Amino acid sequence: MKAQRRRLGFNWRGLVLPLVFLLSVELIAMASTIERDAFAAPSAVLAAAIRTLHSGAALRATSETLITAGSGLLLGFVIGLIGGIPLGLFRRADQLMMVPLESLRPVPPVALIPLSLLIFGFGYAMEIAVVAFAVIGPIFLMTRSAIRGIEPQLMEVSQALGLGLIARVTKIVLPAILPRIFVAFRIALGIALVVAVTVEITANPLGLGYAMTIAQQSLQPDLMFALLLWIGLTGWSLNALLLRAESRLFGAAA
Amino acid sequence: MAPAPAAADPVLAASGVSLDLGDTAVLRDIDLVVARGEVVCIVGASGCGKTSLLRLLAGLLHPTAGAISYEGYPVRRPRSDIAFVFQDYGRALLPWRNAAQNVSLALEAIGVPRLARGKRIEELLHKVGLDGHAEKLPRELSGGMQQRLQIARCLAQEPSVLLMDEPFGALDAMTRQALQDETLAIAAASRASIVFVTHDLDEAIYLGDRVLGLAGSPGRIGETVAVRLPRPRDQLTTRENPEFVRLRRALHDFIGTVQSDRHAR
Amino acid sequence: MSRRERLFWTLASVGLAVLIVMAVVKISEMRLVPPVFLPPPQRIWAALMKGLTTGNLAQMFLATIWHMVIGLSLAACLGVGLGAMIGTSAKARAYLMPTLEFLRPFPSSAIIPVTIAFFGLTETMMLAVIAFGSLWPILMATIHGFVTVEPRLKDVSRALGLSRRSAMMKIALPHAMPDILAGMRIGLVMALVLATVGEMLTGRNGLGQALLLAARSFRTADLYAGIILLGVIGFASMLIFDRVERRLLRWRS
Repeated sequence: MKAQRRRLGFNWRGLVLPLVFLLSVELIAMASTIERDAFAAPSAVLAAAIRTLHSGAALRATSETLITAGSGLLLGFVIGLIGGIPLGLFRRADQLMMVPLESLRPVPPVALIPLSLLIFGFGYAMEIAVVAFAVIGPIFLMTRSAIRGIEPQLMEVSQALGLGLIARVTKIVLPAILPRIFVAFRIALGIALVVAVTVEITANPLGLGYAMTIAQQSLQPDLMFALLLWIGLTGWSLNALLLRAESRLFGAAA
Repeated sequence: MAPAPAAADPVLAASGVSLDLGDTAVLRDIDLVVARGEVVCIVGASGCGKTSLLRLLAGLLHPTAGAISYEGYPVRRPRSDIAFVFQDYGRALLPWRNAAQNVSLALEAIGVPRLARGKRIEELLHKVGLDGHAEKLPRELSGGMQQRLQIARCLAQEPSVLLMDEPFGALDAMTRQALQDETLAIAAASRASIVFVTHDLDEAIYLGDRVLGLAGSPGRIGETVAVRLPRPRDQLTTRENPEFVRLRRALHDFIGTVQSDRHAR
Repeated sequence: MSRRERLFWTLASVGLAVLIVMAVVKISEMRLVPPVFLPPPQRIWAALMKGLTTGNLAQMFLATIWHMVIGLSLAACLGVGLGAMIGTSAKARAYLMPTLEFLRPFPSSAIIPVTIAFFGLTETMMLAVIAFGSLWPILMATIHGFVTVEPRLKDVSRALGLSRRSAMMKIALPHAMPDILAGMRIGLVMALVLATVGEMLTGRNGLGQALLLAARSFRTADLYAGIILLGVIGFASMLIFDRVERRLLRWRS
């Protein structure tokens, strides 16, 4: 075997591919006259990004997306939680609800876009509804499994102490599942953002998805790519933020 | 200590072998010759490099200095003549293949045509006492049976040398004894040499023609003992043989000195 | 819970579902909710039947399935193929993983405007989007599966002298199968979602387009019928997938 290569502090090789790619795209853009409808030099993309951030357009669109995603997330989160707790605690109730819930599960949230459009028309309400629907399912499942995963001794303790149902839920169940609920929230946030952007691209004229569509339709590929990167950055940083909070608050318990 | 007999008909040899892994010196100046049909046992405390030595002999590791040779030819990579039996049999068997298919893997690797495989597999499973279990998945077999299956797969290579890395360490005492005897019988029947690594002194003396004590950090061969006990070995009588007891005491003392050296340092 | 108890509650669950449907019938009869939002279930059923027999729902249904299957197959071939190559080569991983990890968080639907820019509102664009969206989970899961091959099995494959190709097909691939299948499951979900979205955007044949048209002309019963069919696709595809997975992973306890 070759002797173990000394681990460098930083993986320089990882940068090779992106740099080569960006450089070649830049050179092609400068040198040729390829149709500029879909193609944009990295420098142009960067310029467009700065422009749109500076003008406030990107931030406005971002706030629209975040508001709808956030509201839908909160709505779906609360419903999923409220539904998931009793079904996690009581096996019988869970079995009882099985058929109705399993019938709803396979429906992809995007299928509700036209329905939501019909009921609410364009705007915030429609998107919030779709996001909420998309989030309820995963939150519900994660809550239920979090409750199932509670240390059985804890439940015995609550019985031994003679706690009533409300007290049991608030004093024992909720604190016990708090770390996992936080994780579920973080995951649901990712889902909410993706669904929100999808709704905006497909049907709804607001937010970052719509801004991207407009950029594409008005043949501004540099702006389109800039927005794409911005969407990625937003999602990534929100996730990173929550991860940081998670480890701060819960450490190894998460 | 009786000196090691001159190796007649050497099959596998390590000369002046040293091994460094990263910054750690694992083995130093290892000289060892295995004769055809000989059973050589290597004992030592954990971490003294026994497993590394075996891997060097197998061609799974390259020495930092010195050379390994098989029948005079340098060993640079694993060869089908040298089979390796791993201690963690559960992880060395393919869980998605049944017993017969696991043995088949070795035959496929050598290039035995499909039609010829069936018969060979049957023979091999019979040799290790697993007939009737051909269709079972590894997880459906007991620990002892899994190890037998691994041995069967190694035998499929028709090896001249069997390298065994504490193969019975994870098994209960009864299974261990049964497998010790089976291994000796198989080796005798096929005239294969065995290099057997273990930390169990009794096992080493029971099985071996020679026992090498590996000790220190980096590991060196500190003691070589010839085992002149009658064959075939027997679990009861051999272990009661005064020579057995003497050898055990001698090796025990050796390990003891090594341990106290280590602690003194 | 005993078998009998479980059976009882399952039946009760079916009963509950029936009750819910009857309640919806009642609600729409009493016009508590405007029928344009929630038509009576009988009408939904009628629309479903009519659409499947004389209408074009069956055609749309098959079109969506077709898009899903093509896109997913492409993604699976690429994902497993590339994943195997990247997963088995430490060098490839050093060069590629940072880029892959960078691209991972991007929502696949955000790629849509880019693909439209390149391909226009065509079938190709739709398949590209589906393939790209499904590719991601399959690729990452495959890489992970190949990277985490039991090191002892790697020893065994070397000791037996297996060729690189043999080692990959006989040891690495079966070992990575659970991971690959987990990735494919996610890819399957993505394929359905992106097929639907793609059809809505491009207006090409498929349930997505059917849903959008129904919504625009306020044919709510047809809309619900379409949603039901999408649910059926989701349900059936998961069922088939579970079957296949169970068969392939029979060796796991």
